[in-house]
Amino acid sequence: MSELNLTFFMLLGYAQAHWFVVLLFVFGAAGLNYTAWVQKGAFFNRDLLKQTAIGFGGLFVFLCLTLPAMTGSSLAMLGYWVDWMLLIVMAGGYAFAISLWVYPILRLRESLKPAD
Amino acid sequence: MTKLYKTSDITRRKFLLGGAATLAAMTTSFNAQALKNTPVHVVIAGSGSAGISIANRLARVLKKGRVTVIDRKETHYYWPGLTLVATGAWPKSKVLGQNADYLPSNVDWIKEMVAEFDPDNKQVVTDTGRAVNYDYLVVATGVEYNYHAIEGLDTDAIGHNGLASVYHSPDAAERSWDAIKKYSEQGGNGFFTLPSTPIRCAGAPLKMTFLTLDRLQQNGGFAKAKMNFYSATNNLFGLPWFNQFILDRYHDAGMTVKFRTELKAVDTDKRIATFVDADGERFETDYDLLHIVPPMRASAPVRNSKLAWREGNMASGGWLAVDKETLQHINYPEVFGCGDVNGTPRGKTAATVKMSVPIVVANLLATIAGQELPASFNGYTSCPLLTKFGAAMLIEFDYNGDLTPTYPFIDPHKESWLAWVMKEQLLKPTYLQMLKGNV
Ligand SMILES: Cc1cc2nc3c(=O)[nH]c(=O)nc-3n(C[C@H](O)[C@H](O)[C@H](O)COP(=O)(O)OP(=O)(O)OC[C@H]3O[C@@H](n4cnc5c(N)ncnc54)[C@H](O)[C@@H]3O)c2cc1C
Repeated sequence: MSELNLTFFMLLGYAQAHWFVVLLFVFGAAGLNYTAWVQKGAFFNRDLLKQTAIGFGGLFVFLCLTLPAMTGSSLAMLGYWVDWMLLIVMAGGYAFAISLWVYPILRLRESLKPAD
Repeated sequence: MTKLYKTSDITRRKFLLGGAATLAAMTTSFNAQALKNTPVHVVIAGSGSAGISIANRLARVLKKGRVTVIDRKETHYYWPGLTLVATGAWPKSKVLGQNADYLPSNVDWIKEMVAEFDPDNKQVVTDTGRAVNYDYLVVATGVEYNYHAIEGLDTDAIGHNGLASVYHSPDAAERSWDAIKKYSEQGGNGFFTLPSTPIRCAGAPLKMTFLTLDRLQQNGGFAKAKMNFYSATNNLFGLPWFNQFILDRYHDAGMTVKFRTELKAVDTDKRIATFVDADGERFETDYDLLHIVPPMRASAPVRNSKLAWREGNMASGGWLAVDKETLQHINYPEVFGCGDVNGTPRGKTAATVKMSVPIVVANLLATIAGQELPASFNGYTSCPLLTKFGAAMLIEFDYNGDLTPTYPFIDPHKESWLAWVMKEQLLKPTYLQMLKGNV
């Protein structure tokens, strides 16, 4: 119980410390997705989802390689399975979050293309 | 001696089982039943991490009561960040805050210092002569650094001419980085000291040493450096496995470690340090870097009052005489202690504050409500031991020296990036949540 409470407030505190980035991300993602949603045609598009998934994969690998350095450490210091788990969760989380912007942007770009 | 409230087996078990949830429930039930309308006056001496956390929690519960905080200090120091400031990883601004932003609006804040504790008359007198009466008192005045015990030491010299000390203040930590940076480039004789008194965050001097070794490697001074660690105690760390681990690491880095060797004097102009060794022999040595950990004790008003230990190994530092489990004063049941001022074994860390604040609050509220003390403190303390930039060990333990990891999947014996991320990114936000009384 106490570790759940601690984790919750740890993450809440972290979010509060970076409130500007968090708000920018949330409102940006909500705005972009809403705008993409109200465009003509289906919101989900197989090709665009594929492109987003490829972007997610690339970003995930990039973050796996660079996150340790970005936090003042290095890949060489990850010697223990909890470190690898953290790296996967962090890289996956950030890559997923960025995808929440990327997909609607791709979708909007598609809908703004002049019809052939 | 005044009778102490005992923690019953049932409530103790309940606490151990339910942890924070039980505490929260206890606080809520006191709140609902009796405390909301109780017009008590609680005085909190000290507005550091312990004082502010307690003020926030009490202010929520004692709606009709009055909470008064006494402390002149307006700038809040995030002390655990000082090791990162003194090793050039953080700017000083990252450890500074304003107490006004953290204290609840419905407390009275007297911006004076307590000059005298008079527990027989339930009164404290401030340094302006103001007498403040209380029904209940929480002493949270932290530690006093006794730099004067080191002959010839002027704290203004910290940061100059090879003198460093992370403990003194954020300013001194920033200046210490100047001295350490220069040393990490030029090398020479480096000395890290440890006094014989209890100190806050016993891991900090060890982290300073590890991070200086890392800076030596990064900045090219390592091959020209001879590093030494002189401890006035019998070891480097209270837990044997970790003590050996640190010793091995220091030896691997070519360091000399001496025990029962205490810094007695320093000539900061000539860069000469004088130590007394285990046989009582004085010896002098030149230094290029001297990192000093000052002897520590309770602040004078506590030390000179009836609230201090009068016997036992905590008496010489004048530490607050509280029961180590209930954190209630051993003679004055209306007085509680929290944080570094407590004369309890181990644990002068913000992590100890985090774990003991809910216990002090629950026991204080129970005392006000005339009930048995429900909560018992196990002495939890924690030290994210930074072994290099980018890696740390998360060591958590109790009064008995038993490891008590919050997250059982994190092995305290292993250096990890995760522990570094926690220390560097997550602990300050968690600390601020603690100040608000949430964690
Ligand atoms: C360099 C360093 C590194 C640390 N690293 C860590 C770490 O990594 N992890 C960790 O958990 N802990 C760490 N700590 C320890 C932690 O910071 C302290 O244990 C914690 O801040 C203690 O809180 P406190 O409220 O008891 O004392 P403080 O925060 O010092 O507050 C005491 C307050 O009492 C006031 N006061 C003093 N005398 C009087 C008086 N007579 N009247 C009124 N007010 C008075 C002071 O002005 C001050 O505001 C570190 C400490 C240092 C110095």
